[in-house]
Amino acid sequence: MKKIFSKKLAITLISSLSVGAGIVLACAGDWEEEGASSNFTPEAFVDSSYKPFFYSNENFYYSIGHDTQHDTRFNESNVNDWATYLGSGTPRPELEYLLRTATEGSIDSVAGYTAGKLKTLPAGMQSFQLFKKADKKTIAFLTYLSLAKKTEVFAVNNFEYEWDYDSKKKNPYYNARPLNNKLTQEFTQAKDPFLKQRYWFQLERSYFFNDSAQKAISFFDNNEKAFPKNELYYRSMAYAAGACYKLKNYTKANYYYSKVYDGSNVLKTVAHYSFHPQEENDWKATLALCANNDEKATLWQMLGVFYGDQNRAIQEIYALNPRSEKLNLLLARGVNSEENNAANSGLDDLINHIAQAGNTSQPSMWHMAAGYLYMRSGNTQQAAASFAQAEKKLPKEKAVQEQLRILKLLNTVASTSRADSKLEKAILPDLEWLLNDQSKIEVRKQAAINSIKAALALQYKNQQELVKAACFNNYKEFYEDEKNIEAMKSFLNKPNKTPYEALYAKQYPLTVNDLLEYQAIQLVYKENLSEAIAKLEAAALTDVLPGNPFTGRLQDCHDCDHEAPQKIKYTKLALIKKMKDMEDKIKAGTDVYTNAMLLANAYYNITWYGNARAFYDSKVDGPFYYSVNFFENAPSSMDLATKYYTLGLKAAKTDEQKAKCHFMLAKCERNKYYDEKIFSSKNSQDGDHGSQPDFLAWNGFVSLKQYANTQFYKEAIRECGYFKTYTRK
Amino acid sequence: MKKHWWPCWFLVLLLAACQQQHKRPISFYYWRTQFALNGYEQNVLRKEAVDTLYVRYFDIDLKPEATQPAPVSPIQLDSSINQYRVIPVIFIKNRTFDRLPIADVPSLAANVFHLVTQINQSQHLTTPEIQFDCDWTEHTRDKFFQFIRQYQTISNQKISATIRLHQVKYKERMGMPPVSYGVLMYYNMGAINGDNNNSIYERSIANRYNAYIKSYPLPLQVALPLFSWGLQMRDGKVIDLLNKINLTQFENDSNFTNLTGNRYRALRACFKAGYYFKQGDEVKGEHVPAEDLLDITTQINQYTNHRIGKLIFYDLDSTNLIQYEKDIFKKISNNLN
Repeated sequence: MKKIFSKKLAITLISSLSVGAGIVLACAGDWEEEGASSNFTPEAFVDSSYKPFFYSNENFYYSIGHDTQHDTRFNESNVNDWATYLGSGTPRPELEYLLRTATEGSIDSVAGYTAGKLKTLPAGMQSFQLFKKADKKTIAFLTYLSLAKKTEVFAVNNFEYEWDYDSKKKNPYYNARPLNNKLTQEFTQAKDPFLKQRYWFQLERSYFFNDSAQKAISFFDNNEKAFPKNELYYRSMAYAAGACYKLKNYTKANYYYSKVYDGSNVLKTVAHYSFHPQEENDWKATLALCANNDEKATLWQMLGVFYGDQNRAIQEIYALNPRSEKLNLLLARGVNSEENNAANSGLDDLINHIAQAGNTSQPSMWHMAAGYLYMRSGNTQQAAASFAQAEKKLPKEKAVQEQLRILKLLNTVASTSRADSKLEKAILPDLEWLLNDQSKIEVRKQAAINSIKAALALQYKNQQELVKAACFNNYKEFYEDEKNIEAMKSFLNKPNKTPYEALYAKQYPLTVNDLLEYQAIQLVYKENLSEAIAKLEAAALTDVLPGNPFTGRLQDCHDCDHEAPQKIKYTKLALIKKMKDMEDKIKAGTDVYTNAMLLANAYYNITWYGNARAFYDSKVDGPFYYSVNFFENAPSSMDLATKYYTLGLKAAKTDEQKAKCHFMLAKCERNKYYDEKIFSSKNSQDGDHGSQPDFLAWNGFVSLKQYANTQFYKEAIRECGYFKTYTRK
Repeated sequence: MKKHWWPCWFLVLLLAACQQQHKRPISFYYWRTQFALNGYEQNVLRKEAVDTLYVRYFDIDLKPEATQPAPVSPIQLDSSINQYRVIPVIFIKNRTFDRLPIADVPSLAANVFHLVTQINQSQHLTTPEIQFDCDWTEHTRDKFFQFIRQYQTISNQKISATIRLHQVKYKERMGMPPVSYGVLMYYNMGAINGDNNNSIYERSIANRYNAYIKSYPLPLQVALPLFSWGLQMRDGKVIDLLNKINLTQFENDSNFTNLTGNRYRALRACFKAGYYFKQGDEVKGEHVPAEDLLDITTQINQYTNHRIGKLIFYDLDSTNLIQYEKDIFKKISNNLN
């Protein structure tokens, strides 16, 4: 199980010298899209404000990874709030500049200008409309802003400069007294509730950073009733909670954090990060502080989500209020974590029990969840009953409807014992929707598509309907029987397909031409060039091979061959046509030596050892994501090359020619040895080359020795160190 | 004059008498994010005449969602650090080098150097040496080693690196970092899986590696484990490490029952010491008792060819230190040949 979402992880992010990676993080798997292996979509049921807490297989926070908003979280709302306060005509870019960019000094200059003490505005602000008004509200804004800028020294982290230590370091010598005095004065004098709350917030924050924790708590508690419960209220409350934490008053700290979590969406991750009960007694005391069941439900939701105990939290909240919306997140997380968990946590019984009671705010969600878990454990009948119940209470939302449709289709396919025409008819509309309209579907579908196609393919395979099986899930063995390929070609060529046939034909990744090419390639290795030519001509392919396939070297060098200038570029078809010419000439006794050697080279080069590996790549069996047999069985037999080199040797007239034949035959012999003794051995594949002999003298070498006087022999010695070693033995 | 001098001399003598004279210098790793020593820790350092501390400055990580490596939790120092010779230790999470392009290694080295300098400047420290701690693999070794070379070029400092036992055993594959010396981490050798072995130190597991230490071609110091932890297990799997937890607190808690000596089970779901336990969760405590520490020194005597320079204990924290008799360091040091 990959469990990243751990509260403790958040607290102990630093390493230990011993296990730096830690347990919980030791699972950096391949990246996949969030929810790619899931069939249950939290977005369909759970309020989007909870999104960071949806179950994630990979991330600390669902879809966002980590919370990186520390210094920017309130930028937007800050500008909005002041725009509202200052009135509709306020130019937004000016506000953004003043709030986010302008320095403390420049704000003071602006304040001086509006007070008539300075004649000019600071550079960059001279055209600002805002200061032309210079009304009471603008002046109040500037007074506030000037003080607020002073707080940045302790309140802003500058996280974006990660390698800059000084910007993160708190100044322990900061004297906040003058600032606090000024803030207190403004707070006391402010009549406008908007300004008053903002000064309250500023003071609360300054007390948290610069004064006693107790003072911060008292200041919050004594004034909080006067203010609306808006974002600023919860920001202030979060500082009060932090102050409680400093005093080790975990009971109250966690109670306040729970209120922040519940009251402010933008502070949810902050509250999560900070919520941290220590002992059972302080947790119980926090529950006791709650004013009502909804507050308790919030605490239980936090426990269930942050500490991964969904079952307990669901039970507790359900007992408090079956209609609580706080159950939804827990249910979705429960189902999603179950999808990643082999062990049965008893969640299915709990969910079904609640679903049957029918008293939650989203009954259809509970029925769907129950049905899905039943289906996962193989009880498709019970699942179908649950889905039928869900259908009766189904809301109109598109996502919820799609969710049920996918789950029902999954269950129908899972429950079938025979994929007959009855089933095909029944699933056709849903299958067409799922496979053809994927991009329009809002809920998670990829896992469903994969598993439905795999299940149908398996069923068809068992029923010996292999064309259908291969269409739904292309597989390697299908191509081992020529009859299957012919059947597939006929099927693909068939006019007027039924809708179901059209559907599965569309799933098949290959075309008739791909199959023809594959067949042609196979025929070449069976030395049936005439038929191969016929097939390739029908396939109409134009890909060019990267080197001259008639080249024969002392030492194989594919790159050299691919780089060498080539007068004639060969397509697969052109190659085998030329090979056929040579074959015909050999049969006719025309220039047998030369033709046999060239043909041998070609047969050599179209194996794994040669320069024309591209010859045997096809869409059936090649480097494509949908190819069934990626590089597993590259043709490597030396039989045909050996046959024609031997023929060349028989036809050879000069010693030079004979020497060359022997050397080429030695290469074939060597490759055959590699094939039979090394590449076919499991140990070798794992890199264990322990028991291999240092040196083998190929028969070709033994024979070659008698031609020591030839030019070729000398060249072989110069080029081939292995042969040179042999000659010295 | 004389009248005033003699009490001073007496004090000096008294202090000298309190200090242990070790055959070999000992040192400690400091691994918290705020440098602040409590009285207990200060006493141990004074008594053992420790003048050098290996201080974790920050971690480096390249998080999955990030594009650049970043420092994690840089240490906050206070002026008391000036009493010691400080060797900064930088922990680099191995996954950093997994994804970091080799072309970005120089800028990482420059960033690290800059941050170390800034941290030093905060307390007017100078640190002529640095240690990098990275559980590098075959896959990441080239980048890690390149990083060290790059850092050497920028800083012109002495550099050391931590060496894990598996890196010693498979030195051909794992390579050797280009450093002045290595610190052999003689702990965390076993799998953390909650079985009956001690994942921190188990002699039988140590034996799989011992024979290779002698021929490791770097000068070595050795790091010994003083820490303890609890393994939290659920459905037979370890789900969390409970750092520096005192197991005795489970003894008197009615939410837990003692299974065997160092194992407890949660009878009902509850919070405890800042951790949450589901009903049925188990806790297994692991620590290295004094006799095991002595056993480790015996192993080291036997297998290291008398080539260990210094002993460094991980880590300096009173929650660890109080679990041992006060003379433990003397015993260990004396036991080492």
